[in-house]
Amino acid sequence: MADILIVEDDRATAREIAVALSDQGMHSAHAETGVAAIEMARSKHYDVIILDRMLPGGLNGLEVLAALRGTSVTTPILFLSALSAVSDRVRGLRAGGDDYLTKPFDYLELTARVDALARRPTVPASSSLEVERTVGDLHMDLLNRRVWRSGQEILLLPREFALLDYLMRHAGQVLTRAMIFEQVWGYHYDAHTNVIDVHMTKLRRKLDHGRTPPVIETVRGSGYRLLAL
Amino acid sequence: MRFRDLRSASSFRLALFFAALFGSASLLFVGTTYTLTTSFLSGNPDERMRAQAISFDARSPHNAEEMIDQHGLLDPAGRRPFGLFAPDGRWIAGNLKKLPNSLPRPERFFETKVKAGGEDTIYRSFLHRLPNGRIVIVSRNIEELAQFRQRLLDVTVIGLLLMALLGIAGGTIIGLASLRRLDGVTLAIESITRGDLSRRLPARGSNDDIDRLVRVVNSMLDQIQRLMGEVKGVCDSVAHDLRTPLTRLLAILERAHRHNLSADEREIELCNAIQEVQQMLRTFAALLRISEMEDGIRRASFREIDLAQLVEDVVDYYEPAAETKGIDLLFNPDLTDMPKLISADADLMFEALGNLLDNAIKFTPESGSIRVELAEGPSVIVTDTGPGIAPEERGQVAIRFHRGTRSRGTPGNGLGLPLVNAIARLHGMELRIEDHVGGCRVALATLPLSLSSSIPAQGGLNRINLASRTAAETLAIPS
Repeated sequence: MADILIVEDDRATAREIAVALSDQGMHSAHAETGVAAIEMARSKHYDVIILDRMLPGGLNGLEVLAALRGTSVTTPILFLSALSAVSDRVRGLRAGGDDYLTKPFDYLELTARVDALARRPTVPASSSLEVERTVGDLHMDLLNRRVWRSGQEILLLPREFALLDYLMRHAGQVLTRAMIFEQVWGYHYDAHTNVIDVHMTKLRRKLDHGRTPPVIETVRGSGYRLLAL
Repeated sequence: MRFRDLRSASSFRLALFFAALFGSASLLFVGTTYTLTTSFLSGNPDERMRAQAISFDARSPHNAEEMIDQHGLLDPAGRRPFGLFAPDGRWIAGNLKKLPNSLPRPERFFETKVKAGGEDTIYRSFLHRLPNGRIVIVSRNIEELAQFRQRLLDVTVIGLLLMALLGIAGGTIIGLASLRRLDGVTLAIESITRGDLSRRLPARGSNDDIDRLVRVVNSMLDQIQRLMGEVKGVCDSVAHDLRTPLTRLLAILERAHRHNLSADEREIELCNAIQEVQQMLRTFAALLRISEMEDGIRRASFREIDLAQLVEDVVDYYEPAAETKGIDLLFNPDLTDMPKLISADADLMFEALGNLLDNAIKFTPESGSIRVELAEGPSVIVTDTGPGIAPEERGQVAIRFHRGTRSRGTPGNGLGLPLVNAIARLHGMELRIEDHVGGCRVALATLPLSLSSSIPAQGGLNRINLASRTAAETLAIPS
């Protein structure tokens, strides 16, 4: 079970986050200041740290991050910030943050991202060596960019291939539209993510084509999940 | 009236100051005139008197007595009384019989007032001590000179009094007039402060300094009122745009609250409610992004990006949505000798172009077409077969929450084009809306460097100006 450290000075927000995490079956601990957060992160292993950019008492989020990375704590960090400026986001990610969410955020969006960070392999090197991928009856040849379902080849457009690749890499996880958009298209913005639905419908139609059960599940209110059958 | 305030009124003080200054100058002038005139009028006779008195030095005592007696006989009216006295003050000769009580210093002129027949007569005399110790007094009646001097003094005093009176009265009048005028201005300002923004400061129509100030302040108020109107419009729209989804939300929640709903049905209603709230949050996020953009602080995240690649990504993203509606979305990345690299924030550019494409897909009727092109500049042109935006509405696309008459019945929050406009301005680009045969053409065009740098990145007023300029330019372009 994933263990999450919430570093947030606002207790109400911290409690909401904790409730949302426990709904998804994740444990959480709470630190109110940067100093407390550093101590806690050093003394115990956490799977993900949710770090508020603005913290009272001297250390801000970026400084906490620097301090943690300085003492070789490699726990994935998700920044929370009331600042929506792209430059701020870029700064947070450049400083070594792994993801960034602007307040106010959707709690399902947050838990989906935390879940993705918690499941992320700690040694990413293996992914470059991967040449094929199999999830359930789906099989993907990464070198020749071909896909089969139950042995029958499915012809996909490049973007559809990238989309399925992302879904397969995170099989079983809830992926929000914003996450899919960021990862597959490589841009960051929140509006019009409903266009993802159209892409997903097309991909689904190709994959399911008269077969049951459907391989991509819609998670109401948050996003999609590739069923790891 | 406001006499209490008058004392501190600057115009009143100024009037008094000038009255005092003028009074002092007049006083100096009159004083000088007085001294010069009297010394001139008495100067010659004084010399003669002195010569006469000294002439007795050369005469024998007897001769002197005779001369003085004779003089007394020749002057029965006593206009020029002479007297000769012994060193002890005893009278010897002449029609001046008595020495003054206190003996004046010798060889000096002095004036004495003598009461004769109920009238004061003023004499000017010269006292001379002869070598034998006797005293000669030579006098003359200076009544006329005294009267002249008195007149002059009287005139001076009356003049000064009049001047003071006029000064105070004039100062009061001017002071009160300016106080009244200031009162008018103050009243107007107070009522504006209380919220009546349509009120203006009273101008007299003359071109004096206060009027000029009043005009400047009034034009400032015009601008403030216009801006406030815009802000109010935005607030009204926010309120309206919030009330609509909130009402829907309430309806959804009330439906979900009913007991006879199955768990599945309730789940559906809750999801609908969540979507409504998400839509509201998106509206707010868009509003915040526009203001953030107008602050111009986002340039920090600018990088060199390939515009052709970006447009391709946007088209690729929206292509299925267009396809679902049976719309042909065409992109020809033909950019042979044009610069493709621009300094931009890729996420924002994607958002801007995405909004344009989203609009185009939304408003183009089924089985229509949308063409995306790259052109000189570089600029991106989106041409669709939709209804377009009426020329008279083009100036308003940059206004938040403005929804064109042709967009009724389509979903949207009226923040799409204002956001595109804000992003365009941040990138030194311009949003142009043009007519096109059988459709509408929207362009994001890079402005020449000099022009783009001269456009301030913020300010609601400027935004409108820019927008209306765009509309005007667009109208001038033959399509």
